[in-house]
Amino acid sequence: MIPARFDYAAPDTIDEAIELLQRHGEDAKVLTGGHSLVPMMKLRLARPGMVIDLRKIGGLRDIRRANGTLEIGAAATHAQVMDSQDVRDACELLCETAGEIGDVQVRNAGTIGGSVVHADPAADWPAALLACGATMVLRGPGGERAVAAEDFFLGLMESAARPDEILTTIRVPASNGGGAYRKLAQSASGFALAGVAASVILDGGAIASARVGITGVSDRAYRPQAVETALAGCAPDEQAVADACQNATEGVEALADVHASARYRENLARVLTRRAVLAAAERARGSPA
Amino acid sequence: MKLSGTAELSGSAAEAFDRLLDPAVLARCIPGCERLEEVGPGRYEVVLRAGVGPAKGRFAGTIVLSDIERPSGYSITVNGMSTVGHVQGGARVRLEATQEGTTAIHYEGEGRVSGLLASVGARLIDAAAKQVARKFFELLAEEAASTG
Repeated sequence: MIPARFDYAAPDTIDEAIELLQRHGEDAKVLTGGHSLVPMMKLRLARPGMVIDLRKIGGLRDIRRANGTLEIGAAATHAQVMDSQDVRDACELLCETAGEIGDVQVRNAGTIGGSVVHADPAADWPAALLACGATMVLRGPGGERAVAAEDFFLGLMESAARPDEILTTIRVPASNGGGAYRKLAQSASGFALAGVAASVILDGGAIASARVGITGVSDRAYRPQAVETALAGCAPDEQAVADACQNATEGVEALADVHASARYRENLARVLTRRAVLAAAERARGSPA
Repeated sequence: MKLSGTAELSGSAAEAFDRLLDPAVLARCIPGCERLEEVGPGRYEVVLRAGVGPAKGRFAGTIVLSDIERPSGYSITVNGMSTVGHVQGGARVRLEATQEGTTAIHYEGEGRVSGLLASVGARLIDAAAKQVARKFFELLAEEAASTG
């Protein structure tokens, strides 16, 4: 499996990378971990004429906390996020999600930014980023702009990032509740048949508010509004949460493939949403308010 | 793979029907269409670029329309080849006047994909097919709105 011929550049700065993107337009693809793009190139499904490697750019894989906000560099690997104490302190849900991605090799090479921009409908990150209220920071020729997770995932492998923009940072507000990610993976690929991330804040024993992100079910990750509304004020017990999760696929067209029918995915969405919310509530109970 | 859905178009069923069978309109509304040529009655040759994320391919194939009953419906058969695989499909299209004076287009069909696309892209084919159908009807609706 040898890719078609391509040119390669490894710029030292983001501005240089953006310049290259402008010059080569649609023919260029950005590379960080190479775990989405390179397999497609090897199969010759993708044939970019120019590959722009961001790995030489300093600071793009740093993870830091600033004024209660967590900033994850787009080129940070899944393993880095999984092992980061800063991430664990600010938003444990992200560590758990990172640990569910692929296998050790994928986690050591694949990057959070690469996965997010690729916008695979079954990727794990989009669910978690929706649940924790993350913001994507994009840099292009006109400067920087921030896009909320719910406005970022637009469709099948389609994100709000323009062809001349680079995702530099993922900003996550520090969580004051509990979070959890529950997934049923296709056993060969590790991709989610369905994956649900939940972030829950408790108040006096009841769920004050919940944010939920669901991946693998539709052509993009989404927040089930009906579920979030039903969970507000709900007791965090099995039956009440199960009832609240009934409409996990309302307004969504579930996908079917050889591995799972649309109806099966819809059921998974309900079951995994219940499990994720209950686990997140349990953690919220244990965490200092 | 099954593909079905409903789209709404402004104007009467006869207007919608004529749009759906107008090669010039089809060329503008089929996503990624580079060339569409009428080679016989209800028979078109088409070249289009289709892609999902970084995966892109150029397909060459034929579209055949049959059982044409203006303005209530017709059948469509699609056959396409590319270096990454073979796409085949057929659908029955049914047009129905709505109470609001618009036309509902119901389509119901089945498709089959083989080759590299099927072996590595099976997970995404359903979503990709739905996306193409949605985009086609979006463009068609825009076309209908702008030309009245």
